[in-house]
Amino acid sequence: MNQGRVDACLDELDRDRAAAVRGAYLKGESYAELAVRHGVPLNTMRTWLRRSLLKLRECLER
Amino acid sequence: MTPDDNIPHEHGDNLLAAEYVLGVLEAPERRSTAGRIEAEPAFARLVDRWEVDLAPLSAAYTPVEAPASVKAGIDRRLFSSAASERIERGSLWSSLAFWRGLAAAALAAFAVAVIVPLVRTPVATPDSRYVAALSADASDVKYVAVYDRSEGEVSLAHLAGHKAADRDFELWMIDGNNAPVSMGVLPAGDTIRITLTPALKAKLAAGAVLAISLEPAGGSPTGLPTGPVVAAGDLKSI
Repeated sequence: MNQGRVDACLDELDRDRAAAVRGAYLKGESYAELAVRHGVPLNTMRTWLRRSLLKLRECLER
Repeated sequence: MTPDDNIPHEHGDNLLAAEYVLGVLEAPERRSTAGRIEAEPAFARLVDRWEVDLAPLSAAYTPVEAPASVKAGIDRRLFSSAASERIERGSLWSSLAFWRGLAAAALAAFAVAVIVPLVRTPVATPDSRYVAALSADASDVKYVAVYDRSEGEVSLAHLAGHKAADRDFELWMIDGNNAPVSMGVLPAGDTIRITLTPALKAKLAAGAVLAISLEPAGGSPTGLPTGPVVAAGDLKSI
């Protein structure tokens, strides 16, 4: 297993963005819920998360 | 997907796969994505890779977060048409749908075979028997648990999956937002019986989540799960 790898990669993201990824995965939060919790518009939340996911994938591939 | 985010188009499927695994899609998009997993092996592999890569996150949950994550995972597996067997990377054979169906049927058959003998004995009081099917994404460990409240005993049948020789499986009860409570290290064997302490018996009821984590030999040194949750399920009254 790549235990720790994904955590290390999340640590390379801004803290609140990593928190959004974790929140989505662990709590099953939807974009709408994440947007409310982080106080940003839905589209902003979606863009945030997608950019974070691309960075995460890039890091995981290294 | 919306075109607002200046993200190159070639990442579209990869992002959609990640969004699916994270569970952020709304129901209609989730359903259409589930359809693509069945129909497109290349897309299914993207989803598979995200599931494998993100799975370690569930080991890092705080006790408060655990029930939600566990439940979301279980719900995805049980109630989504895309319920997917994520046994390990590279396990995609020819037809995902076939293997998933076979695995689900096998689990159901095992559950019936195990539960029926356990529950057919006369029941003293209603609501005294509970059952939970324990499994998790990114893990091939499967157990079925039957709780007999009147006996104060949990019976576990080991269906699939093994631990490393120098590790132990530890059983936990998670009740609402409370911290997980250890029910002990699971001994080896196909059938395991655990007699509950009065304190555990008082807490264990329908709606509680049973979870199995991978721990150092002898069990968690901290009194809380330290390793990944390899299987979990809701306790249902039967």
